[in-house]
Amino acid sequence: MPDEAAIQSRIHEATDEMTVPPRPELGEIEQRVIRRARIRRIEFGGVTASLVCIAVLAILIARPSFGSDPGLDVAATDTAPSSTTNGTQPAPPLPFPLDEGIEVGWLPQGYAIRLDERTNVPDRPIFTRDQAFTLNGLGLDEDSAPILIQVVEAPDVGDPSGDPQPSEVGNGTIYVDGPFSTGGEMPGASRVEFHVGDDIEVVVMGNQLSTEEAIRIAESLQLDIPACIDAGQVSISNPACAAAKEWSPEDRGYPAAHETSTTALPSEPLDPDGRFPGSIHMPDGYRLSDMPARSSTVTYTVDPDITRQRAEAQQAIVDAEPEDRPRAQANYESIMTDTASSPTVTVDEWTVRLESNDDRSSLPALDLTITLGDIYAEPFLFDPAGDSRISHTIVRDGRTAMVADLSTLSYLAWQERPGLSVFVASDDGAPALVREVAESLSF
Amino acid sequence: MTESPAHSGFDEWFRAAWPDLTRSLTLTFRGNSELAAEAAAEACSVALAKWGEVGEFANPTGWAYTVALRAGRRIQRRSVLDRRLREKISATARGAADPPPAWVEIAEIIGDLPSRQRDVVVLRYVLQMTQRDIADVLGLAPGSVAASLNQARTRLRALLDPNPFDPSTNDEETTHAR
Repeated sequence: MPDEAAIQSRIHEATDEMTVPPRPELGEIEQRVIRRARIRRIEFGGVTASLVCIAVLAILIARPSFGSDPGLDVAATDTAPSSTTNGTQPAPPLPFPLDEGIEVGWLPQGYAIRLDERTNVPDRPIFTRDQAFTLNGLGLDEDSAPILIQVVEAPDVGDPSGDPQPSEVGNGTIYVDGPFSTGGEMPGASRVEFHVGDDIEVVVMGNQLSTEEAIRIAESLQLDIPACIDAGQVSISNPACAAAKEWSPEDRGYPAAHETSTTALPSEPLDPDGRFPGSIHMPDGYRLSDMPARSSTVTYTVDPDITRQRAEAQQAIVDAEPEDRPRAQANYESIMTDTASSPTVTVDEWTVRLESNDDRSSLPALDLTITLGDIYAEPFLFDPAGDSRISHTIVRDGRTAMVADLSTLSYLAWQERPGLSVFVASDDGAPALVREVAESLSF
Repeated sequence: MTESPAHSGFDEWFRAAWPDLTRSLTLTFRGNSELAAEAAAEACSVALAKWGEVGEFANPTGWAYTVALRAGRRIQRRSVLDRRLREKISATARGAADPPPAWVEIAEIIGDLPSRQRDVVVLRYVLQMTQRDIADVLGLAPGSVAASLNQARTRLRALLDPNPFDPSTNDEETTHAR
């Protein structure tokens, strides 16, 4: 049996045998620094501020009902009530600019932006990253059930002082301390994080907020920030500039917004704004660490020639020598522009994390991506005969599913019904587990 | 961007650290050297931007590893379909797959470790960091590092030598047999 020296020796042998990837030129590293800095420069009222961290707080208080809609679709609703009731203030019109470049398009029923009592303008405190977010620090009553919307620099990019929670919580995302860390028991609290571009993180959280509401608020935000502008988009709900995940703060001792069943999740209609539209059964020893989170909505072209053309151009960037990379990049962008109007199909990607249901167990966590949509409309992607690495096919309910076990990617794909295809994949390998979970899915 | 006092020494560190940084990340990312290189480049750019502080660290490479780890995981979370498409194109271009080099097996074995154990193993055996430095870099208690390392060793022993009672099997054979 190899001892420690033998283990170390084998790892050394392995690493010595590796081909070291070409080291980028210093100029390329500098360009990355510039690009990252550009993302962080956020325009406010014509004055550019280099911000390490920006937090925008929307404090929303109870207000009269505006009809039967459980929430308030701001853009389509008269938001100027003629009188106040129950002593609450009239709601200001929405979409309301919380700050230059950030607007909220939807709020749950009964909420409105709180005005500063002295200036009668919305509270717009701007925090730096080092400032603590505490309820008392914001001058809030803990029973006011505030909803907080923060736009911050993503904290997992690399803080030399070290992240406060370098843990695996939330699929590798590091969470800064929020009001949840200082308050008492907060049943129903939930928190949603959206990542915009590489570095900007948008957080919506509230202590009496459902996850669905938090997601809907987040998706209603209009962000006029460079990361989105660069992507040609201005809405956080647009997948080109945002990816979303949800998280319930149960790991801090608070009840989850949803009961995450270890056996099944409720089946619901396919709803792009709703929860996962199917049910999953967990393999032995595993439980869901979070509710499945819709991570993004992706649009693919349905023209196989264009798909191939784009993929080859994308691969050419990867394969290019450093000096040829700008030309390959330009070629790729040119192809994307030229083919922008080609027919497309839109699919939703959901992320699911399975983890051991026993803290003492050494079962590795498994991250899955489940893609739902009419993906069979894209024949190039789902042509088993066209991919020699499809290890086998299985037949499920009369339908054929492809199964692949690649070194870094296991996946299954099948057509559940016309218009709904399913693609289940994991970067973690684990083909047997992926298959077990995939076969347990029902819609 | 010109060499400023704040960036003094970065280039030297960058050249020296790149091989070990990418090798350790390649192991962490189960042999995906492309992802390792991208994550390492991203981490190095963060290091350059903050070199005034990072350059003072006892182990900038260990710090860069943790930054690259997060960058790599962010990249991994992006569209699986996109990557599959690229892999498909690559495979088509290369034709029949060549047998993987022996180090891929080690990468897969290490890649199968729980993430904390994997990080500790890579930092300890590839970047040659002490347990105390690992604890600093990962923000763990030294005891947690020792425990994780011990658990990882146990698993690695079993994985590297799955049949210890077979006299015909020695370390070299079990390592490279595939």
